[in-house]
Amino acid sequence: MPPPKPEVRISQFFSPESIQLSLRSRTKKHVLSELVSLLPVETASKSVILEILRGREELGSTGIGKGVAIPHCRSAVLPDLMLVFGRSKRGIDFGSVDSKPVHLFFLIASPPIEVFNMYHPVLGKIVEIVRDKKTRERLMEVEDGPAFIKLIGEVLA
Amino acid sequence: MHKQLELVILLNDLELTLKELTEDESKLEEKMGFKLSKKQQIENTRSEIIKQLDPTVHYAFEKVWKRYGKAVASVRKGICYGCFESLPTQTVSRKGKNEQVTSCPHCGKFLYWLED
Repeated sequence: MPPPKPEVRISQFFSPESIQLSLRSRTKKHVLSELVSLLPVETASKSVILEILRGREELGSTGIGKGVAIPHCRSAVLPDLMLVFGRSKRGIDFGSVDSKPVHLFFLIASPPIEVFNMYHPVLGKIVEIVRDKKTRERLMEVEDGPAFIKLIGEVLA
Repeated sequence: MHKQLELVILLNDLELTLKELTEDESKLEEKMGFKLSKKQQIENTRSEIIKQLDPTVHYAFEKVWKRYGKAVASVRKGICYGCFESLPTQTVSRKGKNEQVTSCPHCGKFLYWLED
């Protein structure tokens, strides 16, 4: 019998190092690079991930509107599923569906195959989190990494 | 990382992204609110990568891709995660493994070493 699929706990994929509450970038190109720089992988892998993310953006922007973007990709250079959160109070033009600047960025990077196949469940959970206006407002206000992780845990409880 | 290995991984990951577009996964993403419309641009990127690939590497890539639907496997603790076979000791003990293009002697997939 296969092992039972674990419950998706988004907060477990974040570490304080993978959260940047004051993104410095002002363009789509740069913000992708800044988000990738927060992944705990070696530099050579980062350049591959960045290229794949850019390729994914060529298919259509991952800016889903309401100030949120969820760039995501799979790459063979990744050992495990990883998440990064970035926030820009100023907002960045990301070519979103509603043409509005993006303030909240969730980066999802995953290997092509994972034991529990969490990629789409995690993507779905993040979409669910950011659909709520109140949660988006709270995400704009969190003051540090631990507060962000606590908030994510709360909204999914 | 060896430039050819980087190109092989990029091509593999782009092919996987394109493959997903034809499967149920793309419908899942569209339901979540993502737009997946500009396939042509990503195909142009793929063509650019192929132009830079060594022809023998590209030939091997195509052969493995056709057989398995993926051409790159990661390696952890001396095991190819493409076929879960142990790799030869002399390959495992080599330094700078991602500085060269190597394939699994069992399944033929290109190897990306997660630990050096």
